[in-house]
Formats: sequence, C-alpha cells, structure tokens
Amino acid sequence: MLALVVDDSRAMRMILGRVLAHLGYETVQAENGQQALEVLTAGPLPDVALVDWNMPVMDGLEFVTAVRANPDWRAITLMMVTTESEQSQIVRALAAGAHEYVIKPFTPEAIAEKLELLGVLPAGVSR
Amino acid sequence: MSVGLAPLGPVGQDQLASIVDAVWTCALAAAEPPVPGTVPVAPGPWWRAEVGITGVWDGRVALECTQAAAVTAASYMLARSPEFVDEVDVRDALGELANVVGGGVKSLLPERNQLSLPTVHPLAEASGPGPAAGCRLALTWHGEPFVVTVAQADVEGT
Repeated sequence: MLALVVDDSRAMRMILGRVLAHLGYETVQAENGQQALEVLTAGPLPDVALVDWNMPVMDGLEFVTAVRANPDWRAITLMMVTTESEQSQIVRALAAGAHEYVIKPFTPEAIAEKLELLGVLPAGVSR
Repeated sequence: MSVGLAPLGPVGQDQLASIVDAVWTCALAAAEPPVPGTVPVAPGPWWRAEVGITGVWDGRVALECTQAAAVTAASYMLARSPEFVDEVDVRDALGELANVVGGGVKSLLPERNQLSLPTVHPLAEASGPGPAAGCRLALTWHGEPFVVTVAQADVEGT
C-alpha cells in the first residue's frame, strides 16, 4: 500500500514515514497541499494520505477540500495529523472530507489504530 | 504600539511538563526524556523556536536551547547522525517541536484560537534564554539546558 505524507516539517514527515514503513507502507511525501496535489496528479495514487493542517502555500483543509472535489481521487482515504485540536476544527475537517483525525503529539500505536479502523492497513501487518 | 510580556499564562508548570513529555515521546521516541533543570547562566550559542497563539488568548510558546541540544533533537527526529545535521535540519526540527508544544498549550485554552507557523532563529552569541515571563519550564536534556516558556502578549500603548 502507498501512503502520502503531507507536512511542512521534514522531521515530521520522516517520523510519520518511519511509522508507516514499520506498518508495511511505501510512502511518498509533500511539503504542502499544493505539492501534494501535484503528487496526486502525477500518480500513482496513494491508498491513504496523512495530512497536516497548518502549512504554507496550501493548508491541509484546502487540500482535503480539493481532493474531495475530484471524483478521480475519491478512493483516497484522508487522515488529518495535526496540532489543531479544537472541536470546531475537527468538525470542519471531517465535514470537508477527512475520514479520521489524529492530534499531535501522537504515538505510533495511535496512527496504526486509526489506519486499522479505516481498513487501510497493509495485509498481514500486526501492530 | 509595543508588545511586551505579562507574567500570565494559560498553563501551569505541571501541565506544561506533561505536554513536553508527550511531545518528546512522540517526536524523540528513542531519546531519554528531559528532566527538571534550572535556567542556565552558561553562555553559548542558543536557538529559539516559537509559535504565536491569537484569538481568545494571545501569546506565544517558545523553546530555547543550546546548539548542542538543537542538533541532538534534529538528529533524533531525522534519524541522522549529529555530524550530518545542518542548520536547515535544526530549524525544521525545533520549529516542529515548538509547533507541537504550542498545539498542546492551545488545546488547554477556550476556543477559538489560531496557531501560527513556527519561527526559528539563533539567539545572539552568549545571550542564553531571555528574562522569565509567563510560565517557564527549565529542563535538562542530554546534559544540555532546554527552556520552554508560555507567555501572554500584553499590548501596551495604542
């Protein structure tokens, strides 16, 4: 399975990349929502995208909205991974089309649990 | 108009310590946790990373640490040997730590607030952390000082 990690921090992309690699994913990365849209356009499409909220150029909410507006990208599972923890923001993200929401700081177990709930853990992975 | 710092904050030291502990567990999983320390007087190159919070509560959350602590943090977060950590790595790692700590502080505030993108900059040589303001947590991490401050903005004048 392929996961897209969208975060303006390279360190956080690497941390999430390590978690996802441990779970059996291949990963691609983008520094912001605009770059992530370019990754989707270039293909191949990821099975799941882990998306930060606060990013320069295009933020995570704008990215989620853009992905959901494109029928070709409907199959991509979207999970916000962000420091934004206000209830109103969680509601906004889910209303925009995010499937799940993880608040930083997270544990690897929390990421795995959410991915399992979403049914996008690679086959044969035990967490 | 000038913006100073009032000795008020939305969190106590215990709450701030819990946030820092959780952030270190997430971002620096392989590292030893920070332990309580004292605000150092020792000079040396220092870094400051901060995020602003605006809305119901206006203020900022700052991390200040030595060059050695900054390199160690970046080394853990990027899974890279310290000798291969450069300034870009330090800025990125400290910025993300400030972002996540700031998010933790914001989560304790009443809605609604906005979190800024982090800014990271070196402090003047031999300056060390600034004067105490708001809630300050002095830590020692890998033998190096690491200071976390939450301070409310105090708008003075017009």
